[in-house]
Amino acid sequence: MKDITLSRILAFFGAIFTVVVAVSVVAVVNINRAGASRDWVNQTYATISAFEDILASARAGDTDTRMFALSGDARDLTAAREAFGAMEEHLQIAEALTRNSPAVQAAVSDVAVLARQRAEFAETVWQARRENQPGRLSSLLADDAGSTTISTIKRRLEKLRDDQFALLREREQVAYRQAQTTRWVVGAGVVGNLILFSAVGWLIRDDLRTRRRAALALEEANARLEEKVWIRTADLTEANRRLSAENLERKWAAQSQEHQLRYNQAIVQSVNDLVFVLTRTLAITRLNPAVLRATGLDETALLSQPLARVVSLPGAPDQPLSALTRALAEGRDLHDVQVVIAGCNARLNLFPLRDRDKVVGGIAIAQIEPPPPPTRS
Amino acid sequence: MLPSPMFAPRLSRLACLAGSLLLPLGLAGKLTPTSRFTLQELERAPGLKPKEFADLFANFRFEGSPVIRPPEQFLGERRGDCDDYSVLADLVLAKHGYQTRCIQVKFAGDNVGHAVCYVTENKAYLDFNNRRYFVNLERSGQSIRQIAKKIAASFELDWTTAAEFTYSYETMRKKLTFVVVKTDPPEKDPDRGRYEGSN
Repeated sequence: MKDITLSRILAFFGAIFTVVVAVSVVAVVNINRAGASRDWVNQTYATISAFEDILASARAGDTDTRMFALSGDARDLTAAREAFGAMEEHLQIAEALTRNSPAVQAAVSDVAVLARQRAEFAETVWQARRENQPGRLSSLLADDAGSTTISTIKRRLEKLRDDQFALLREREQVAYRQAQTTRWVVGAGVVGNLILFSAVGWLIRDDLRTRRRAALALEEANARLEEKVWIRTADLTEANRRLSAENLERKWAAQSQEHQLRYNQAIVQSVNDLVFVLTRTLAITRLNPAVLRATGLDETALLSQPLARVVSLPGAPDQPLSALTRALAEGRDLHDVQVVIAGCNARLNLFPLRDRDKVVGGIAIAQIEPPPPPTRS
Repeated sequence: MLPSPMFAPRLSRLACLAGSLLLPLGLAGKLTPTSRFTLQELERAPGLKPKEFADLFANFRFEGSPVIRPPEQFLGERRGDCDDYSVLADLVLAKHGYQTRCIQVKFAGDNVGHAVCYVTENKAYLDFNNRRYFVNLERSGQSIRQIAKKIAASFELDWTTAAEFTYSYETMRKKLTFVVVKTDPPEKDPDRGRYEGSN
């Protein structure tokens, strides 16, 4: 989720950056074009200015020449020279400014021819005036009286100027369109970026909302988990308490059984009856102290020994105790069997020992009969 | 031509002050910015360098004129404009063996212009507007277009045409030898190829 959001935001910022770069590039290109257009507009203005300057200086030169012809004042001659000098400069500049438009340059060249003719005529007048030739001077001025050169120059220059104004209009329109294009591009870029920024904002807001929801859900889950843990802990505590009680009870029971066992053992140990614990084959596995006392043997000499070692049938000491063996095999008790133990008559009872239903051995309990009282003879 | 105070180039007042203090140290012979001097003295000043020439005009005042003043008038009145200065610099420095050219630039928006004297050896031009500054030689490329660009930038104006010109004090005639138009492709400039290998 996080990675996707981050990728999307990065993608949006990439798009914003691209738009900014694109707008910048287009704007710079348009600014350069606008600069070029401005240069062309400036050039057109300069051309128009040059045309007007040509006419103005030609007129001034012409007027100053006539003044000089009339007055002979050197200042008029200087002024006339300066005017025609300026005219020549403006002509050269106009020719340079129009050299990329052959038609216009041809028209300017025609004007230049007329203007230079006028300058040459002025030189002639200056010379006649300086040389003090009134006749020649009058003739020159009279011949020139009807000259239409200046008005022709004026007309042609006005025509050229009007053409330049038309050109200027076109160039101004181009410049205006370029400026408009720049405005539109920049405006579109700004709007586009605003949209992209809004999308980024929405994305971030959506992501935050999702995160907030996830955090809330996590919080709730944690709360539920805590509750579950609390309940489970309580259960476990209760179970533990119960187990402890049970354990204590079992301990007590075990102790009780142990005591009982000790009591039983004490009873068995303390009785005068001879107690044998036997296997099914009548081998001795346990016995009580009464046996040791009666037989005079120690425990190691009796354990694992056949019962027949210490118990025999009266009058048949070497016969096997088959009645006992059979009784165990059949799983029945045997009571009051007459036997001899350590030379004394005894009455023996046999009880089978069972593990579930199976007879695994038996317990033989014998009571030594007291010897008969001595008969008085 | 344009007055200097309105379009003072980029040097600081500190540079101006330093220039005023240091000017007398670098002058040739007895000529100083405060002394009056003639065209002959300028022409005869031994080893007069372009910078030293420019330093001498630090105290000249600006006064525009549609015509170029004769040297005697310009030096005598100690006032003039860029035309007077550049044409005189062209004359004097050429006498001292420098290769010089007068360049005039026309600006857009008004029928005004500016003239400077370019000194090929220094690859810089002398500008009347810089006469009060310590650095009074403005370095520039040699072509008319390069010089025009630099001058127009110093005025913060667009230029339309620039021309190399000669002027004769005798005939009082100015002659444009090459006219460069800004909108023309530079490769079509009439002075193209004249300075190749020398820049």
